Amino acid sequence: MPLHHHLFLEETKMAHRYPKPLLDTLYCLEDHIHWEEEEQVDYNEYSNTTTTNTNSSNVVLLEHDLFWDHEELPSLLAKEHQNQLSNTLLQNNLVLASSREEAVEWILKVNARYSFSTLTAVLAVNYLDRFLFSFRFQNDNNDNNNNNNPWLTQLSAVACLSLAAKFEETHVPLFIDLQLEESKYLFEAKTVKRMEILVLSTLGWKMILVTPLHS
Amino acid sequence: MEKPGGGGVLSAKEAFEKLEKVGEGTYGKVYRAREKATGKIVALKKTRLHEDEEGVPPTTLREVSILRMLSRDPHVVRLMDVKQGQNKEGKTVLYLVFEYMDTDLKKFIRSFRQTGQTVPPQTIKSLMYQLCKGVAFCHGHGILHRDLKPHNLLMDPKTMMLKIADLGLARAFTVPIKKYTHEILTLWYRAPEVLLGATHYSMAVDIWSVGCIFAELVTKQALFPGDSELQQLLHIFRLLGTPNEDVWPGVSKLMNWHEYPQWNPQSLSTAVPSLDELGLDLLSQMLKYEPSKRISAKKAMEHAYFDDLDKRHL
Repeated sequence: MPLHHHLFLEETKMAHRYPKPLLDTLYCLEDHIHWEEEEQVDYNEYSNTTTTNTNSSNVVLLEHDLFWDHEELPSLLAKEHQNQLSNTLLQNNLVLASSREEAVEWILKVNARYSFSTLTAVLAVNYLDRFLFSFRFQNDNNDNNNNNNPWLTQLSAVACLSLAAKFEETHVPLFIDLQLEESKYLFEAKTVKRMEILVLSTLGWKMILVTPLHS
Repeated sequence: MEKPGGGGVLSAKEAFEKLEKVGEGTYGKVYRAREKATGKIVALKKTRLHEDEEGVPPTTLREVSILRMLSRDPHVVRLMDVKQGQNKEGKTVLYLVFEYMDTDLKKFIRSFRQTGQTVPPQTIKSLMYQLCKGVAFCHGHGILHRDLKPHNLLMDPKTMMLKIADLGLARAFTVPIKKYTHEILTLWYRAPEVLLGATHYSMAVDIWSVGCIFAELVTKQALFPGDSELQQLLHIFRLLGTPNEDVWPGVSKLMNWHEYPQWNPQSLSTAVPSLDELGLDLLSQMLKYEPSKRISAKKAMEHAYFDDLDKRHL
């Protein structure tokens, strides 16, 4: 976990050093780095485990793992389809893209602060993107102007990170503690609660995500 | 799914007529109810969002998300809808709308205990096969249940169909399994590695529970009825022998490990005398001490114990 924490801090600094146009690329790079590092850590843990086992246990364990991997792959591929996102929205709405970038950066900072897992961050960003896409789609149809509500993206980020942490972490900070990290807005607990329910119903309560971390 | 702002959608109160309370869970009550539009009988699980609570409880979030993924399997209880409403004090309430099942395995076993009859062997075999199939489906989708017990296994007594319910403690797992809290889990069906404080545990914890349920179906009594964590362990050790590094490498390094009285393993047939040889073999594979040696749910379905079972409708 200390290594994990360090990586997040480094990436946050890196993000600040680059101009805005490169941030999208950086976010992709960051995700890639996280996954690689997570796999590295997992491999080390696995090695430690195997060194304490007898040879026969190793064989049985490997066989068991292979068995489950075989079963799991079709299931994971079927689930993956449900979570595909559209980039069109961000490309067409620069204001939203900007506030989304700020929200993602905020999520990563809080994730690092509480030493949440990489999967928690991935879940939170996925929920945020799916929600913004769905919510914007609904509002575009209604011809409402949400460009003047940048606080909405930040509130969405708080709700999405809270939901991701509840799903994946064993200890979840209070809403108010979750917002210790620097932000333009600070939301009351009851506001975040209402937003949580809005996010959940908008996403149809489909909160289980397929990521490379499952492989 | 009810969308905010959807003016035409009935609130939960308007859509359903509560008929009777049938249960009480950690976060709220369970009602038998009738959907007014269709006349269909459902189970309504009410989840209050208290003012002092921090939004949607993790158990509700997990249960709904997981059921949204699993509900197409016939051996997992079907979640039909989630509705948002308000109670008399204006507080937000979530209603989980489930298919209604008349009874559960706990009541089923108790009814046999009261009449003094044994559960017919083919009935046991059918129920156990369905349980293994449902668990295999959950595990194949990366879900641990973690609280399998007769009360959480719903049944239709006419068709003898069995469904897994109450996935509030269930977890989606990544590989390797992450640390989990030592959360509340019914003691009698709890795997020894959990009792000994392992925080990295796996699908095998569910298989242990399945084994305990299997024995209980045969004898109509809990196999390991401990009333504390220590007593639970001692119950297990008295039957299966006190574990050591030979039978369970790594056991003495678990957090809660102590010196325990040394018992030799007894034959399972002493605890489950009326189970046949094939059943005893399957049970013994479900109750292996070392988690990685425990049979998987999918492999259990292939065990010879089920060979003479007509599986066409299961």
